[in-house]
Amino acid sequence: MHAPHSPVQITRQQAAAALASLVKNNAKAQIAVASKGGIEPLIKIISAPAPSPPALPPSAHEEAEAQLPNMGTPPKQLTPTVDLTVQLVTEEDTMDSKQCAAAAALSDLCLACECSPRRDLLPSHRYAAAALSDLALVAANRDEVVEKNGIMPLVSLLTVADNEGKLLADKAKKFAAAALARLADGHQQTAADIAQVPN
Amino acid sequence: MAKAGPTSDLIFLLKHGTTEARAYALWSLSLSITESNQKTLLDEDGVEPLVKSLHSPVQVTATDDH
Repeated sequence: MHAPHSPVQITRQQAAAALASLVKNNAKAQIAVASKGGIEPLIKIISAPAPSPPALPPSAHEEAEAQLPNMGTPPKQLTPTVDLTVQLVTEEDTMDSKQCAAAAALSDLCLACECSPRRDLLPSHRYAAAALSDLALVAANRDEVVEKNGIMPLVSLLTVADNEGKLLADKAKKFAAAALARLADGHQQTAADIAQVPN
Repeated sequence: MAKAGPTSDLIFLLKHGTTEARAYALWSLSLSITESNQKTLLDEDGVEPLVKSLHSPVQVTATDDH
């Protein structure tokens, strides 16, 4: 895990968490949050990279290298595993079977890809993805998420690293997949756009 | 807390409190919104300050505790 998150990150995380709880199973809230301009900042949150851990001073690098045994050629980087299919069917999901199938297909798509190195996760990413997945239950909100370039950051969350713990990463992946499924459901162009996002 | 209940009071603090109070109100709301108080939050215009917090976060520092 990285160093403790900044106060700004924590505040964004708390605001995203509150909004995620507010829009859960509440169509009126889903409309209200969008009308107050909530979609764009949520997309910005999931788009923001986690800050890099502080670099080791040169002397620490040298010490670490001296302690490393000769391991030979490093192995080929493993393809990240995305284990979403089971988690998509949980008690807190409101997706129908068609949407579950779409989300599972997205998961399979990721598994089949030779993904680039995974981005790190912030807790705020998980809450913002949760909020967006419920906001995407409203047709007008789906259009706005697509217009505000929400697809690419959602896709990138499907293969997010476990740096904040596996549970948090799994939840972020699940909510991202749910959001993408809802965006794609019945929208061929959006589904095609999702499939074309480079990993 | 006032008659309207803690959710109303937290929303009021989030809108009108000091920097420190707003930060704690947000923290508290982030942990306490459920289906039972969603309506209160909507009725009392709690959405806007929450969305604003996504943009312009309030901060609490160690020295704000005292």
